[in-house]
Amino acid sequence: MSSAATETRPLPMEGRDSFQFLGFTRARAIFFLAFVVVVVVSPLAVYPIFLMKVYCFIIFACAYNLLLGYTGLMSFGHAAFFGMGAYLCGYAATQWGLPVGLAVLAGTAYAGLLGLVFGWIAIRRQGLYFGMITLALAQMVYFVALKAPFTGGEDGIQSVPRGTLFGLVDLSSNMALYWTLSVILLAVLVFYNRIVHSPFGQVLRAIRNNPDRTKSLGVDVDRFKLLSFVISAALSGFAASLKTVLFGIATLTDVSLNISTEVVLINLVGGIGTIFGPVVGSYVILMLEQFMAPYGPWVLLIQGIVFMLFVLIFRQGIVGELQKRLKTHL
Amino acid sequence: MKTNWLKAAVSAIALGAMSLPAYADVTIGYLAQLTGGSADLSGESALHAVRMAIDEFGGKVNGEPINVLSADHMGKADVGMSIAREWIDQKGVNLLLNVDNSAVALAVSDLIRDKNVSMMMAAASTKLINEKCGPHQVMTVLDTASVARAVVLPQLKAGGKKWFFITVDYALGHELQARATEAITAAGGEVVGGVAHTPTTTDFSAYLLQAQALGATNIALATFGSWQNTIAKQAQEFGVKATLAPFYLSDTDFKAVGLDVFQGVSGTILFYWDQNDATRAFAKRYRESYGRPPTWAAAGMYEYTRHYLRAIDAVDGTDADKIHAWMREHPMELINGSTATIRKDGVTVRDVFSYRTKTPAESKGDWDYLVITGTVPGDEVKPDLAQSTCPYAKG
Repeated sequence: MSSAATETRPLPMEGRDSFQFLGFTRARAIFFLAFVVVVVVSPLAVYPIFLMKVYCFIIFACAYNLLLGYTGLMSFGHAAFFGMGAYLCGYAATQWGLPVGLAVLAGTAYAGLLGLVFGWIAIRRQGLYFGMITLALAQMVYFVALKAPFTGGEDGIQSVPRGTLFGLVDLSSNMALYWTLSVILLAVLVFYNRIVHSPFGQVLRAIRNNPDRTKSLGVDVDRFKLLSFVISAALSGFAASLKTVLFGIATLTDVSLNISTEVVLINLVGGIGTIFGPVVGSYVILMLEQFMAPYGPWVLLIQGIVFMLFVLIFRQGIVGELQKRLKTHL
Repeated sequence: MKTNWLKAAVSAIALGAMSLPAYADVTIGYLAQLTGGSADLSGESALHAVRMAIDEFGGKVNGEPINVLSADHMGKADVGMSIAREWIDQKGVNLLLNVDNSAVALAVSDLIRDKNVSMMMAAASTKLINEKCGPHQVMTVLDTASVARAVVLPQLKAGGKKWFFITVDYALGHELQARATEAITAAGGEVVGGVAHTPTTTDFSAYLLQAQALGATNIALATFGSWQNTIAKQAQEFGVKATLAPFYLSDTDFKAVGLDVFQGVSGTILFYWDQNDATRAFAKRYRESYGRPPTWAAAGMYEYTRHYLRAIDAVDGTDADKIHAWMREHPMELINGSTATIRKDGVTVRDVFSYRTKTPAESKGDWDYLVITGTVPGDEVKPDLAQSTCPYAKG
């Protein structure tokens, strides 16, 4: 990806000698702590359900960014993992009667499994062909979701219970669910940052920057790509499962092309190949959707304009621009 | 730098959240499909009817202004439900109106069942009056089983014995087909075949010719909107002899494709603007501010809004249990001068009217499309209360 190339040029790679804890440099640690404060304070002013929706999308966008920003693979089919994760979580909770924690895990595992199959097929090709294969597979999944009886067609899987967390916390209360989701979100961010800034993450970035050269260094490129793909798919399924628990519903929207494009847009606006890009991008895009909702189809138009603005003017996204100014990786 | 950005973000979020309007004591949330699909039939035009009902009520109830919110659910259950949830949590909505999509209505139904919120939905799934019924839930249209009976039975009586289905590949289409098939076979008719069309189908000629080849006397259109209009148009072009039986035909469809396309079509309708003096008077008022006569969907929204406001006024509060008890006890006044009753399972028992389309020569133009040929009593089409699985219908 060209954005990856432009991103790495002005900023040197992080040396091993700089201060790091769990992959956090000082700048990232400050940013992270600031975000913790935002998470703690914002429910006082903002509708918590909306915030929780944003958090689910942050996790989804992080999953996508791992693949696009750090491995250099552009998938157009992440709706397949998101949608199927949502459906399986909903199905497990309503039909099998699994407790909420296990239902979420089931959705995550299923999305990961699907990622394994799709990744195995798709990583054989690169660039546009890779994107087209993922798109085709996702459309097939959409068709299955439309026709298969277990997804409930247009009705979707409804009345998914929120249940209790490990039998201790009653999640039917919005605030209980909010704090649970906040902890999960922050943990995912730490995990995501840890993966990216680990030797494994370094290999992924090497593959992104120059796959042939990485291969010549003795790295099994395909294996790393596949692993990155599976982690991304599973994390997408995890985000979708949380969303299903939050709203109590899994529908065709979750598996539709819109989801695949929305996650690209979020990352583009936030900053591809940054840790906090998905965070900022999710806030911006979802707030745009939320406040533009009364204007119906205009949302799509405005999203299109936002997309063009960022592609033309802020190619590195908000956090990408910020890290260029601050001269540090965020 | 960083802190500035952060401050900006936090204040932006906070600002967004604080720009909420002051709560009125009564807030009506109008949740409907405002674009595509059924938007012509209902959408903005039915919202206008809701506003009319509020204005004619005086704009206030119990001394408090009546607030109206509106949003597009886009036919998606998740979109509709998250809007409804936010309205209930944040804006204190008392009544959700229209909700003209079964998937959305089913999702919202679960959401409001234990809350002090009402829903009057123009969604037709029989689930909504059976296992998914609610204590504060009223169906404003005929359910799929009733609409199927109301459309099919008169044509069976007229001698149409061999039926073919063109069905939209949605839950709604399949449910309509299943219910109509039950009604046809019970009355001694026969279903000779059927096809499901996808939402992207634009050419129905193969289906029509198939129906013709199977010797169908009647073609049931278990679909709606532009698909139904295209089928009628192509049936005309191909000279298909079988009688068309559309389930959801409205004035706007005639306007869209022309009366000549719908020649010899008969069906049933809940409200037609040119039925009697009372409906004409209402249509005149409506037309002065909206530019065209009301569809049956818009008329329905007017009637239910008015009934709801009267209930609030009578019980002097917004307790949904009391409001719904009042609405059930008191017959609902209809625009055409008759009344309807609301049952515990949320069914409205009301007369429906059979019609035939006018010939282009008969029509004076200008929305003059139908001849009302008779009345089908509400008792004949209503679903059997004894067979309802709705827990609130017992006792």
